[in-house]
Amino acid sequence: MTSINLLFFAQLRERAGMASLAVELVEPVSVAELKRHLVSTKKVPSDCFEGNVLCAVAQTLVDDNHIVELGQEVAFFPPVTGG
Amino acid sequence: MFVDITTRDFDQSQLFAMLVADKCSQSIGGTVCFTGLVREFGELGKLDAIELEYYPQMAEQQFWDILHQAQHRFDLANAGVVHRVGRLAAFEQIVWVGCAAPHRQAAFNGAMFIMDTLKSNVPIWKKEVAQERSSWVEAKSSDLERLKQWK
Repeated sequence: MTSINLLFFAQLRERAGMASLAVELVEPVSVAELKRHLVSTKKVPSDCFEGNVLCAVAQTLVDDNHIVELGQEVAFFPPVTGG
Repeated sequence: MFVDITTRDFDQSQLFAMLVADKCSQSIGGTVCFTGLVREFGELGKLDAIELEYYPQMAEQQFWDILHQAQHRFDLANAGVVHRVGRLAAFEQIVWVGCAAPHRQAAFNGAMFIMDTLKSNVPIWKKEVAQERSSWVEAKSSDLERLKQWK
């Protein structure tokens, strides 16, 4: 098993109730599978990923089909509003 | 080129000096510098402050990526961006973008491209604070439309 580091920002941090979480994985999973796993194991609330939620793996924006490799950093956040 | 994400206020004259000093091998015929300020009013009415949260590694990487794209696309001699994070009061400086180029059109286009791109691509989030209330700023569809103009 290898742990991946999850990060939550802005509204996602508030919904999840935490800024980061380490999750153990035995094999690579898609982003969609990872989100389902987090909700089904109650690591995050059931509404955590509702609405427009973006995901970055290794600091690059990806879609739900992207495969997360063991050891990578995964971040969830809402559409950005800087500038 | 330079990128700075900081909680501290910035000095426009110092940034301008950096923009024209670090000018690579190309001659500079013009610069465009944009400074964004915190608005006094938001969705909550008159604001006490805004709070900016960011994803440090990715935000810096995205800023560098945008500057490299702008340099390549508009043949800029130099470019820089400074973005503040943390708690800022109304009218405080929040963002600075500077472009130096051989001709004015490239400098104007470069600055517009950098601003339009950072507003939709750099992981920074604003929260409005007014008295006892606070509210995250929602992304605007108009910002995405502006970004599409550069595709």
